[in-house]
Amino acid sequence: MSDQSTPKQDGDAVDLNRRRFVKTGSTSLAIAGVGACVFGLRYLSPNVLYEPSPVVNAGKPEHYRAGSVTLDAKNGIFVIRAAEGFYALSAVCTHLGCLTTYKPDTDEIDCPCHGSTFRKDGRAIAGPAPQALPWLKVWLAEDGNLMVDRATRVAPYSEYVTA
Amino acid sequence: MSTRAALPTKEQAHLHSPLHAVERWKSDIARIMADRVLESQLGFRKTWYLGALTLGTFTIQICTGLLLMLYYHPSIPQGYADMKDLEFVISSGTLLRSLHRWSAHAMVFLIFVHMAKVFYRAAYRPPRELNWVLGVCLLMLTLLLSYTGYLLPWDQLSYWGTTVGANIISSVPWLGPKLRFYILGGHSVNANALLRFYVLHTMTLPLGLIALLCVHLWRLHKDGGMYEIDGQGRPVLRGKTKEENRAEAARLASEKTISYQELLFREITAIEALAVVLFTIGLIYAAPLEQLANPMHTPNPAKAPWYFTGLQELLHYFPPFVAGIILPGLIVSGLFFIPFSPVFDNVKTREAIDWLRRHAARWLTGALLILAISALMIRVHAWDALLPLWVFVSLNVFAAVGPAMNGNKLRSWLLEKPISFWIMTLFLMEAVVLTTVGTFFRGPGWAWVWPWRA
Repeated sequence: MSDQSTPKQDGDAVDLNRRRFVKTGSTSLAIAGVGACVFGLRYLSPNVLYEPSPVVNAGKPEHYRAGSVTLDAKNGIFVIRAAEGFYALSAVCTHLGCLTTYKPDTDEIDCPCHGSTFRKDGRAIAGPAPQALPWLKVWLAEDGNLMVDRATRVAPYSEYVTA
Repeated sequence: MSTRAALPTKEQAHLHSPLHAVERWKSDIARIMADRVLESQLGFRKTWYLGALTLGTFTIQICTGLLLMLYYHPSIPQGYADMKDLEFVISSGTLLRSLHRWSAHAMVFLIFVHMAKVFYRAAYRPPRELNWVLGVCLLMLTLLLSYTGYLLPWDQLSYWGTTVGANIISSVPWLGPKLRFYILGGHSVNANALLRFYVLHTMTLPLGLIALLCVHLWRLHKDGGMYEIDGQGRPVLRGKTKEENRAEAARLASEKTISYQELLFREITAIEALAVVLFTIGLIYAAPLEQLANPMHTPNPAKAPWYFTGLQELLHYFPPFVAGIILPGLIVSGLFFIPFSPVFDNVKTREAIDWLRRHAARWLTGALLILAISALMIRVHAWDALLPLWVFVSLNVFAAVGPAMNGNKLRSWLLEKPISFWIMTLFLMEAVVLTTVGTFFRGPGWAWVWPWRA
């Protein structure tokens, strides 16, 4: 419509202006879009989390029987008292995050979701679990309580706590 | 005064009157309704009204969902308490929730059947590629809606189903854990995750689905409804000889055309019948609700709804990245690729396949090689994932090996099938076998059980 109403000699200028307008417009839109995505992505990632601390107080060592495997379901860890001393395993299956349980009759750790089985030392022996249950950092606090840090992994057989 | 627009004349004023607008709309609608369809396209047998029925279930989902939102708070543990309120306190609460649940199941089921029907009637062919691709997108949106809705009741199955799903996402190399954190809004399935899933389930995904659905329906109308038409709007003839085509054209020309209203009427009737069925099911069977989500105890077995048990069965055999990301990714790309597969049905591919088929030994070796490689990939004990592949390979071997093809109808029928047919058939066979095994034959610890003994 506007083309018809514009005098012919101005046609090129109008087209150029329009092209420039579209070009500048789309460029600035693209920049704004990328900016919005960056800020949007940062917005999606919460900066403060109201989640429980990774450090768990597992109580007094003398409460654990020798040779026992104790599941702390609330925190998702096993506290194991072996002959060498205490160590802790994550009880969260390395496959897809289900909570595993210890079966005393087979002396193994089972996952109910997809049938993975682990040894007491964390090694995966059956099922789809790709990795062993990780060993977690364990230490004795000053008040004599056993502490476990769920966020810190240690190499298997590397650290025991003796009480 | 010269800059002011002239007042409308009496005639133009009439054009702007609301009554005139209504008249115009009426005639527009009447024109759409006057569209005519061939009599043979009207019957149940052509489409089973699957698209309309799927749309019907989606409408039920929106209506019941909007009503359920009036009583649901996306917070912990209030969300679960609201489920209990719906069940015991709120009038018709159980019915609404059950209807929402069973209608969701029906929608997923109908979409799968719709897709299979469209495929085997070859209704994905040009110019309908876009609509097929849109349909695959709609299927994925529907599955995502199911998955996000699954968390909202905040019971045991919700919690653990979402935990497993979120861990599948985190198995993506490099990006995975970050992606999981963004989706859950934290390190575990908690209040942030519930709120995010709620927003996805009630706003983001439905709006996306409605937008795509509009394009899907618009394309359906543009592509000639249920006809298969060419560029000139004439029905496409698929006879093998000129005589067959001529006879088909004559038949189509002599066939009665019926007003579009009749089709609309039938489809609405079908939707109503489905609604009655779903209402009845909802009245008899209440949607299940487990105990309050308990992060300290994983139920055994923790089963997904039936349309995800096939995936769960794969997860039993493969590492999560393969079962949860690679294989579904391959399936979805395969589905996207289907309308474009004739590119691969060209002369060269045919010649290569013929070269293979000319000697039974070559063909057999090739088939065994494929089987051996897939067996190694899947590990030998994954027999149920391998079964459809076995059927697939043996059908091809049966079709290709042996003396002259003529005389054996099944054999020549199998040989004619294009690549897309085998992609889709393999996909459907895998889906049916894995879903059946995962739903009925798996018990505690994902061990094999016989359903009649459980």
